[in-house]
Amino acid sequence: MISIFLEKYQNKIFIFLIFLGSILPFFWFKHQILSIADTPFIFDPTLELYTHSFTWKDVNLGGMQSRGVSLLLFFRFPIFILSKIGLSFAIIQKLLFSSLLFISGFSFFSFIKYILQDKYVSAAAFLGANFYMFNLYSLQFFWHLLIILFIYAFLPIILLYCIKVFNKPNRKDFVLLTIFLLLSSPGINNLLIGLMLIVLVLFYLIIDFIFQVEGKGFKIFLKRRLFSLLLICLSFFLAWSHAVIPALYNIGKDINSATSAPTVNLEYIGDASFQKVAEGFRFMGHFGFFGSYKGDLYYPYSAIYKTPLFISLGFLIAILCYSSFFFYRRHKKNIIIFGFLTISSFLLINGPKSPIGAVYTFLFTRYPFFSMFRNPLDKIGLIFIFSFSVLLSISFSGIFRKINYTESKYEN
Amino acid sequence: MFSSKYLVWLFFIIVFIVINLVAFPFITGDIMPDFKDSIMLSNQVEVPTYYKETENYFGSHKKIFRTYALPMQYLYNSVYLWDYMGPDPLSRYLPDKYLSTFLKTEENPIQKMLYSINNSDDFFNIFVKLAPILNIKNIVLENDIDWEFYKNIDSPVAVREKIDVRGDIFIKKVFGELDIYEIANEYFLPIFYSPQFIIITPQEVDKLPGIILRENYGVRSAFYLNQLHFNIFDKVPASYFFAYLFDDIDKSRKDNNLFLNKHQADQIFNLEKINHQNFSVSIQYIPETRKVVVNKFPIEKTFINNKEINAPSKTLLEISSQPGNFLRAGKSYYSIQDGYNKIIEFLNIKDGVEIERTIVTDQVKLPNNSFEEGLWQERPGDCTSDMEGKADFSLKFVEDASDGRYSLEIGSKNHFACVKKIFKINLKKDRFYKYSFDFRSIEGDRIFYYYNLIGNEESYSFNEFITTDNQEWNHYETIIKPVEDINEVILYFYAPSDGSREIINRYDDIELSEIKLVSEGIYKIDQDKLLDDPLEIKLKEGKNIIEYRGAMESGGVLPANLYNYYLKSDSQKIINVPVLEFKKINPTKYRVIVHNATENFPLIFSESFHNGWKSYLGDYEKKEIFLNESDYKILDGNEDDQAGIYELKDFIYRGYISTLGNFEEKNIKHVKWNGNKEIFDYNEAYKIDFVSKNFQDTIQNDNLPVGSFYETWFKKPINDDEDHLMVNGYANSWFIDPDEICANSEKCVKNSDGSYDFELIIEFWPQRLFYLGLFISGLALLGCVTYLTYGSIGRRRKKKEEDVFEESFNNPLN
Repeated sequence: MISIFLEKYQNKIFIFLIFLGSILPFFWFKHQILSIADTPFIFDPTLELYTHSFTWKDVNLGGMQSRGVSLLLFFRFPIFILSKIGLSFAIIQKLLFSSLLFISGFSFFSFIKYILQDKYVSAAAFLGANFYMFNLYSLQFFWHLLIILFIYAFLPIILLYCIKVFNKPNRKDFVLLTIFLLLSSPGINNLLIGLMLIVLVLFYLIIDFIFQVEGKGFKIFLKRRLFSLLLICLSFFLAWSHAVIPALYNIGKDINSATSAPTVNLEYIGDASFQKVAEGFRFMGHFGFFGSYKGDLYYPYSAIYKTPLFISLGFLIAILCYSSFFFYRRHKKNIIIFGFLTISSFLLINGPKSPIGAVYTFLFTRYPFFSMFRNPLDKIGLIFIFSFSVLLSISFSGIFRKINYTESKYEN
Repeated sequence: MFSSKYLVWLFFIIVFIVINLVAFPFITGDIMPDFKDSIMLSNQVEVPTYYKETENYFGSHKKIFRTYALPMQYLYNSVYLWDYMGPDPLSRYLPDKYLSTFLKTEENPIQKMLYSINNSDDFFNIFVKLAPILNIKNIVLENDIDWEFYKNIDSPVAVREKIDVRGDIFIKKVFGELDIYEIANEYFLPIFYSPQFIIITPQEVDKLPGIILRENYGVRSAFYLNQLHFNIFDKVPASYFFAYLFDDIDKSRKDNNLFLNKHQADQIFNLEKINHQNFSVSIQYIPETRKVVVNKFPIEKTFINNKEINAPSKTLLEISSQPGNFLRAGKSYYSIQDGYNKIIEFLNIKDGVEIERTIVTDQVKLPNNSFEEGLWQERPGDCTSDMEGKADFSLKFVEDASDGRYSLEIGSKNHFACVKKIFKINLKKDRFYKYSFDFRSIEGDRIFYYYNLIGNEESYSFNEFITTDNQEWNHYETIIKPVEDINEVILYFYAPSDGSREIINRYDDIELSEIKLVSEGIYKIDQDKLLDDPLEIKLKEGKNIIEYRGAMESGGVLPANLYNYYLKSDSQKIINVPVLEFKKINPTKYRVIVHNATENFPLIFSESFHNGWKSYLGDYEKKEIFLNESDYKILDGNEDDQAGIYELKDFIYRGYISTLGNFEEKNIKHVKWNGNKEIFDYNEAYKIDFVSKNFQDTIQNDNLPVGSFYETWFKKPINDDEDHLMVNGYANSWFIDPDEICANSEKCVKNSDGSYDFELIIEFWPQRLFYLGLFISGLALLGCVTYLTYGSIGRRRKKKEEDVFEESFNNPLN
């Protein structure tokens, strides 16, 4: 009886569990959070809505064209409305965290369900979603890079709908893709984060295309897919116009300054990448995680991660993730895509300390253009953790199938 | 045996536990630590109410200006006593008004310059003169800053003490821990102004403090920095030129090039000196007149285009005295001796000097002080650590003495040769001791000595180079005043050769005696004497070479004094400036009405320079204004800045005001604070919006129309980028030529005196890209929402008809 109920309603139950996890922020803090880095939180919602309606920012006589306008529609405006109806800043922040957590879990769950389509996919998707919601890498976004969470949370569902539109264009998927892109638009306050999403989408679609084109009329297939790609581009354009079009004014200058930037300080990149390669496998290598000031830890709970239990558990997750390669035959395409992404992003995220550190150093010291990626943790980390979570789901799905298959074999 | 289904679920549960255990801070809430009982600061805080009160206070001010935060912080994240570390709340509450110095100083020259003067005694002298060009009106002193955390910033109390003694900065309001100060109106320049003086200089922003400290600096000035090749003289003949002789970026460079175009070279240049009390003076005893002379050190051995600058030295003080006395400047004592010429910084004597006579009360015995019993050591030591080449020393016991029969002779061809001797003697705390010796330079022109006093707690060392131009025996004295009891004294004498020439010095008759000092008079310096007489210099078109041909100071750098000299050409005339009337429509758009423009003038806009700022000619119409006195009132909070009724009438009479709005009743909603909650206070009704007083020929008139957001969209800017220049090191300026603008335009109004009135719209051009983008995104959002709503209604209807409802949970979004 229970198992029938579980079978029938498992999707609902998993989504409910994701929802339960997403309400945790309501117990995280009592007061208002004032972010300490790139995401100034709520001081005066009315004033902030007003200032984000203009592209000119002259804080401390460092006048610049602001991309903060990307925050207007889906960050500052909802905050303004919620404050006007009398919610405290603390509650608004909790709602925001909660919504982003739920979206990241739900969108990942939906993505895995779509791409794997296996017997135990729901359970595997849920575990992957659980990991995608709660991992030590995304922790930093809650501390001081909240804006990136908008891309982080919507990334799986945006990729999902890009795949859908790419493979079988239809109005509803196009509209939903546009809406998800619109909702993620605060994240492109940092244009490179948006660029990483586009790179990920393109990479997936190209590999997907290569896999699909086998044995079919290449030209006709290409024509169809080019049309789909145009639709996806249109969706991106429509959704991100308010942030991207103003930025175009300075694009030449930005590229010029990026390409003519002085040599990147490798020490800085070192700080903005995983501190130890091995810790990268446990997602806790970022600067300051084990650091302290006058004996007090920056992250008061970090000491526990040095205990044998937590070291083992951390590596266990990594092992589970990479065990997905054993299920290559069944999930060939996804393992190629996400395996490549995980490994390459892992190498890049470790900066000069990576096994390909010499290449990294060469690129950064010879080509100033790469200075745009001087924060590999923020930019490349996004792809790393997403691909890692996908591989984890593939592993779970494979392991579940394996357990089931072994049993059935014995029964037979 | 478990069935496979249970095994799957068991595995599922284990993995679920592992994932959440590893990410336990999310589950337990530790992700947002409150750091109780820790020195770390949590980011969970409530901002004190007084920040909101300050926001409201400044919000009620209609006048546009900036505020500056003190104490100066130089970290991106400020640290506060209310257990918060993060961005300064004022930077969030006053986003367009607030100016502070923080981490990104390296990227911003103005910030870098402000930070560089942070610890200067002249900080506020410079600051009040910089305030106008930075559009700063107020200072907010944040008493809740954890200033001890920063280690090298002034405490709020120390800042307050410095401000309180000034007559040009006044306390205006106090909100909790925030003190609001206001800078005197004479130092206020509105966000738009037309300068009376233009200063063109090849220098960078870092030299601004030096330039503005000149006596004749006018507040209503504009600086075109680093501008050499631009023909501003063509555009505005009233400019003057300013250039330092030497650039202190590379202090080892003995030359500097100055490129002038024809217009610049035609000017008459004067050599002047920055009077910020940072120059050298020489103290010299003249035996013939029996006077101590303090001379302002003249520029020397400096050539412009191979012609030496012959500037005479200037005597600041002449005091009758005799050898053996001391000149006290602050805590330092300088010996008065024949042939003794000491160069010191003027800052040491700026408060005056005192002549003191010495009375010896006790002689401290120094064994073998006159080398009659032999040398102090057999071989000289090498007292250098990082000089190139091998040491080449000599040490002799010679029969030539100022006292007794023998003296010490020490020589070096390379490195610093030294001899030392340790004396176990006691010197008492706070007593005066005279340390003296005789010296004779046999080769070279440099004497060097060093001593080290060993106390119970610390050791105290002192050294000095003495230059000499004779080969006779000379006497040297200095005063020692120990800050604690001294048990041991180590004396060193040198032959300091840098390898370029041999140095041979003789030393004799080393004495240490306890003395009493008796004042023989205090002498102050006449401030008028600090000013240099201008020296006319002729420069040519093209490259002008400035060279220093004297000896470099130790360390191979130019004498510091040289960096104070600059060349200046006088302004040919004062610019005939128009009156400006303006309104800030939003942060990206301003309307400016120019009244009575007669000639070419620069329009300064004190927002950071950006190519995106463009100026457009607006449609201006001069209308008659009828003012009903009862319609006008001073708005609450604007008593100091708003024009009174008589001033307003005067503005109307002179034609400085274009409109007073539509005279319809409007409201300002005032709020107040109850604990941490903002509550409605009262509504203030008014008919005529804010009209400011006339500040330096600029009037802010908030009654000017807002206009449509697209009013400039199909217009061409009046200036091309060549006329849009950076001014004051950060701001925008446009050269406005009324004759050119109004030549064939009906948009200008010609006044009876031949002058023009016209309207300019200053707009940040990329804002229209945002409007376009917002329109596209907004339309997309509307379209998507409409489609989904319509689709969902349609689907529901269809569902009802077919009575099918499964699918959705298997694929939640399909």
